[in-house]
Amino acid sequence: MANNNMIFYLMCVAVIAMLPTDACAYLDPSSGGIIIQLLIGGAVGALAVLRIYWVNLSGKMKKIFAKGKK
Amino acid sequence: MSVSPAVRDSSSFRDFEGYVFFEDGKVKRKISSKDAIERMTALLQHSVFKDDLKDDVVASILHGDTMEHERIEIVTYPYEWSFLMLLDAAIAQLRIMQKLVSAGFILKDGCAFNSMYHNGRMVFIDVLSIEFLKNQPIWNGYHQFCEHFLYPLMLKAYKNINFQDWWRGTMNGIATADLNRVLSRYDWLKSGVFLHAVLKNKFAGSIKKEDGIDKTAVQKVPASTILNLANGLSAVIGKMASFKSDSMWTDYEGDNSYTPDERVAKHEFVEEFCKSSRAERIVDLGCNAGEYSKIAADYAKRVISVDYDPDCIDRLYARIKKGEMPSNIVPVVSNLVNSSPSQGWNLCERSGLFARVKADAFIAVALMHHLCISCNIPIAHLVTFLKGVAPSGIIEWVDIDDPMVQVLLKNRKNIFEEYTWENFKAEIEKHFKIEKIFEFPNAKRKLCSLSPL
Repeated sequence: MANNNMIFYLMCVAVIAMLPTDACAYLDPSSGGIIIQLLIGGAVGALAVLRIYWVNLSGKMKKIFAKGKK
Repeated sequence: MSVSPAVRDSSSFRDFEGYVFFEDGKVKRKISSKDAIERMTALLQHSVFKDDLKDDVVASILHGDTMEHERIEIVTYPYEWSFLMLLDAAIAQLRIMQKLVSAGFILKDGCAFNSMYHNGRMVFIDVLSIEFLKNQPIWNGYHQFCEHFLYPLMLKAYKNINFQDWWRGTMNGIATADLNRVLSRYDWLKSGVFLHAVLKNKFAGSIKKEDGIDKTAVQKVPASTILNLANGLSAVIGKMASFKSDSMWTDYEGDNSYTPDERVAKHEFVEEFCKSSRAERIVDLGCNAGEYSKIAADYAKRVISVDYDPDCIDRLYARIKKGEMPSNIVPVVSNLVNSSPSQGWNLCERSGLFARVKADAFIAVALMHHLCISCNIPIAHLVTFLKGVAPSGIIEWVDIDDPMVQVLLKNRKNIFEEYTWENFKAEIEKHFKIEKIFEFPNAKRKLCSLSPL
């Protein structure tokens, strides 16, 4: 159990390191609360979090490549 | 028999399903939607409400589209509560959540204004904010709960920073990002900080609103998530209950300049006043840990005990909880030279402390030198203020030569030529009749009992 918690926290630290911290525009302050609850929801929730960030990341990549083509 | 007209509560406008109003001395709630009436009917008939929640939720009955609640005579706000009061209100809301979820209901939000201090307990008042759980997998009030309860508690328990002034300033608790700016890396190791404060802030900062949260992803989390969240928050906050902080005033009752005889005489003087004045509501200004409030509470229906030191009010509340103090005492954290103002939307949402606290009598013992010497409040202003609080009371004159006043003057110039017994007496007699004066034989102090002119 303790090992599982440790792995969870290490994963979270790794995720934090990758997160951009200066999101601009309008921030939805409760989005962080929703993601925390997804994580508390276990494996299914964690996959949902990964999906949210994958959608986010792939959107950014598309924008970068679209700029490159211009 | 005359019936007073209905007056809508100026703070009750955010919930589109209904609003609170006062009518004929009763607190009522108009419910404006058919769905909400059906929901309240189901809730109030449910055993979870009738049995499990009866100690945590204000007593309520439903008549058609109007709900009537037990009246809470003195309303205090979260920024006037001590650490333990906010902690107990938080634990109570989580306990309510745990019981509600098991019965198919949930709290709409996590708002600290939905709790109030009442007869020694923190009770939940916003019954209309209880809704059906349906298939809701997460708690929408989690973010608000963190900012209203969890972060102010963390600020005190982990950083020993009083939350009251900050809370009052925002009127919405402590913002997630602001708390994170105060936390050090070392604080990340403390219970609940990493998950509920650090990660939550990082996640919020990493998503733009336009990206949104995929609703289908949210729907996939198991139904146990809300209970797990409530249990986790309860465990984090429960651990904080052992936190105790001391200020220079918390030991004042056992460490002051009075001899035992003088103290007995002072007790007798206060007791005689409370007995003879027959005041139903007494406000104890600068109450410390409630030594004189306790005497007053034996005679008055309600005693409002105000002190600027949150640690003293914490002591007082803890004593009330343990049954060492009567529960008709209402503990309030407020600085008399900067008491809670009327504020919020249109300056009407939350009323000022002394608009709420109208008393029949005041107790102002060992107080005036702090206001007049430390805070430069002129005697005339102090007396006018006291007259506004109550028409009668007790005030203790503390002479400029008193050892405690000399301590206050130690490192500053004595600019208080007007601070004399003669001037004080003259100002008092403009607004009150001095009924009795007790002079301490060996101290530079006098107790005066005052009645209306």
